[in-house]
Amino acid sequence: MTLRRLLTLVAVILAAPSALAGPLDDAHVADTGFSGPTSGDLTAIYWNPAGLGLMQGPQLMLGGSLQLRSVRVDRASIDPATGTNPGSTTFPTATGSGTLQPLRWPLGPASFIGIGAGFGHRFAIALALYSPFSSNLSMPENGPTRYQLVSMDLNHLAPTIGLAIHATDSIQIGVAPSFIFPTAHLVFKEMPVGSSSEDPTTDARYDLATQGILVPAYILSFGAQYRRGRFSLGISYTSAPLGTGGMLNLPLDNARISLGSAADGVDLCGSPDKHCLAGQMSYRLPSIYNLGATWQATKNWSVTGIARWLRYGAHDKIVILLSGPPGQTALGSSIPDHVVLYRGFQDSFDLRGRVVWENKQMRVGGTLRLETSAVPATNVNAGAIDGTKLEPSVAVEMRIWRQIRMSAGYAFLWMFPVDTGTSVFDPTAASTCANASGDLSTPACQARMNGQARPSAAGTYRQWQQTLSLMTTFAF
Amino acid sequence: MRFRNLLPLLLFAACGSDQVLTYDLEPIEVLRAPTQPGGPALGGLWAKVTTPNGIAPLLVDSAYPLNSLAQGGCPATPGWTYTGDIELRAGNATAPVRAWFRHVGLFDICPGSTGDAANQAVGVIGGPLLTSFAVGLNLPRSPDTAATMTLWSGFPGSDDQLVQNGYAPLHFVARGGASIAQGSGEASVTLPSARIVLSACAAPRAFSTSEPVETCDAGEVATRASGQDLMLALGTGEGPLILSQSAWNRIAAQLGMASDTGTAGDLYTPFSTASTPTHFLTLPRLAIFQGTSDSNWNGACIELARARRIEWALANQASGACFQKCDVSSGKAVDSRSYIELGPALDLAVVSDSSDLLRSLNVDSPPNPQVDGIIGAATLAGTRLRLDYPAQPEGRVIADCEPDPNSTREQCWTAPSCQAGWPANAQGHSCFGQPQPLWPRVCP
Repeated sequence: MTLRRLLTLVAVILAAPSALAGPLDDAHVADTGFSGPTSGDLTAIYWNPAGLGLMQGPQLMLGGSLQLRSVRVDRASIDPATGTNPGSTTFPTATGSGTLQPLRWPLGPASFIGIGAGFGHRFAIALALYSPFSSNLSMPENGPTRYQLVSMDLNHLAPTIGLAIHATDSIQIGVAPSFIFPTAHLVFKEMPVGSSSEDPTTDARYDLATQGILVPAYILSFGAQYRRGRFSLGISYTSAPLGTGGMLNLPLDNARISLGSAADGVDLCGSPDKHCLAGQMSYRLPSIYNLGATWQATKNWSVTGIARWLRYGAHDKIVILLSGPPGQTALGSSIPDHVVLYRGFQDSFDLRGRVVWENKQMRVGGTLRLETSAVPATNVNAGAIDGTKLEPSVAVEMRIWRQIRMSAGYAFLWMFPVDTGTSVFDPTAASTCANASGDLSTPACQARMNGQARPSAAGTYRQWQQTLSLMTTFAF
Repeated sequence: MRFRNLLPLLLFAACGSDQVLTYDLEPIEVLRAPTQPGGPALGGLWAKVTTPNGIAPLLVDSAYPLNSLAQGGCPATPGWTYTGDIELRAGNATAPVRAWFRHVGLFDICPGSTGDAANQAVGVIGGPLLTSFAVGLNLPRSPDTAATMTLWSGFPGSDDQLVQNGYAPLHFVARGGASIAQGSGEASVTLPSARIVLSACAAPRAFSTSEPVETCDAGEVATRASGQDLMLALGTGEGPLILSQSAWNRIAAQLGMASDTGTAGDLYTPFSTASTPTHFLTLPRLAIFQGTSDSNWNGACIELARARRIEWALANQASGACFQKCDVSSGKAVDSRSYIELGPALDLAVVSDSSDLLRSLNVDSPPNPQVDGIIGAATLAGTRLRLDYPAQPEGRVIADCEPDPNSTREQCWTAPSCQAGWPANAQGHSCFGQPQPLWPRVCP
């Protein structure tokens, strides 16, 4: 097998880059360092469906990436009696990691499969499969962050159909409705009701997962692109899930609660083989605005600027509801049958500058990305780590056959360390609220309602990430 | 201003718009009104609400067709409709704030007294607001134990999961879409369908798995049933089981009782500002089923008799019991329907068919089968209900009995659907509380 064929095979097996941006958004869907709101290939179905109108003839793209995420949490000390900061109980540094890669079923995040065709200078149609929102992170089972997160794997697979038409010689418009098929696996620990002592031996371990393919939600993207001479401008909007106020409701058909510090502690259903719990998880996804402009400075050189506005403000909490058999009296009394995980996100902005050199055989690009934090510092916890991020990346694309191009990219993301200061999480709020008979006009009960009545997450959070990606394009 | 000029405002008030619902997922303590004058405090559910005049009682009634809050307190002349806020407080003495419902469409009217003349609420959280939630109700049998209401966005679990866990999911399609008018000739206002109506079998015969076999040949399924089929609204703001005189007449005839049996008295419900002349008595048994029907639905009493025969066959299979032919299709027993059976002496109030209460219950657009009465909160004492309005594709009431070791089958019995099509070793499933079934044969 020649090296060229081997590279082609690897490119098909792996694929397009994906780098975590914000706690949910995959900022590099279908991006090898070249795509954006002004792109004129299949990746436009995600970035700006109007760009599909620039395709000429049939096209197939297969891509994926390997994304390695590392986090490090230095949790602030706590008072052992109240759980508040600071105190005599100190914690070791907790390190966590997450890997996104597409080789799994249902098809994993960090993948992109697209097929489509442009018909003359009139219209284009395309189908694509990708995951616009995903997150993966594992933290130590009995580590200091266990009440916020032990592990998380969220994915939202989006089969999408895109359609673009030429409104004029220089303006295309496009639309791309998507189904969103969510899958989730979330593990965290809870203290017994009424307890404020962080004791691993009394923890309840919540292991909550969806099962199979769920009823999808629906999102819609639409956009426009203007191209005249050396200048092109693209703008697009992707909605949050429609008809539900942006909310996703996921049945948790594989829910399990075990008691004790071990991962295989005493199962609430009596046996790990029994599935006596039913659950439901709900949260909101953001809507996204994209704006991009490209200037073809010379025959070989172009520069691109991209701005993305991620409307994360709606993602305020994850609500989990559980039910068990009528005879299971612990659930709902000593073990919570509902959990609110506070998120309190804010809108974030993703800004990119890109320079590309190209000729007939290859192109090379370099991108610098800056993204503001979707999580205010006081709200940062192991389940939602975010801060201002800087990500340089390089990408190269080569024509390896007449109709086949292959690209590879590498990105390194570095998050400025986040010191939470006083954490929004207040471990005393639950008992204070109980003493107030649950009066929602009191700050403690509002904190409990919002999911802030949890162990403090104060500390310093660090995060970095490497992304290696490959993409193969077949253009006929 | 003529009434028709209020139409747009009333429509807005009825439907609610841009509602902001702020609540936690914790139980809200509610009080219970007397079932009748001098009766036990097991009746209509009371919370409290903040008003300009202080904290006042607020009724929670799933059968009430609208949301109301009298701005000037009660009694008052029926007034305006408006978009307002409800600051919901627990019904207990400390009355902590437990939820806010903002920008809610409200009628500025006072409901009738509940239970007795002294229990006057300033408003009602009715069906139109409750439909936003899965409402969890814990209704202890003892009047000394506090009842609670919990608001969730939905109740987790598919019907199969709930059945396996021992709940009875009872589906319904919300009814009570009504047109109301202030006077004859005036424009009417459409209210949303928000009322839970369920099928029920009233006064079926007693049953025990140790009784002699009830044979039932093919085609005899209807003739073996006992009791009277009813359609009943679920009313958390009412106390006793309330039946129309015509429905009671059918039951009385079956029981061999005079139709005017009972003690004459006054029934106080939010539906009428005046008391309703009533006969109070007791009903031996009530089995509550789904409110929906399908091609295999035979009616509550037939389904009850069938479920009992299947339960009997399962309980006695060791001694050679078999499924009766009338309960078999394609060589195996059909699935029984989920139900909850209550007894043994349920407070019953019989009212005239022409009473405001019955007329209101039967104003239904589009027209639906007759509603015969209301299952009040006192009838449901000893149960836990989740009124899962948001469930798709149909709303459902998820019912089970309170976990009280002293509770007997006669008082409360939950019978999740027994699905004979399941494999004998279906994980965790047991029919009628029996061990995992080995399905009996079909009778020859």
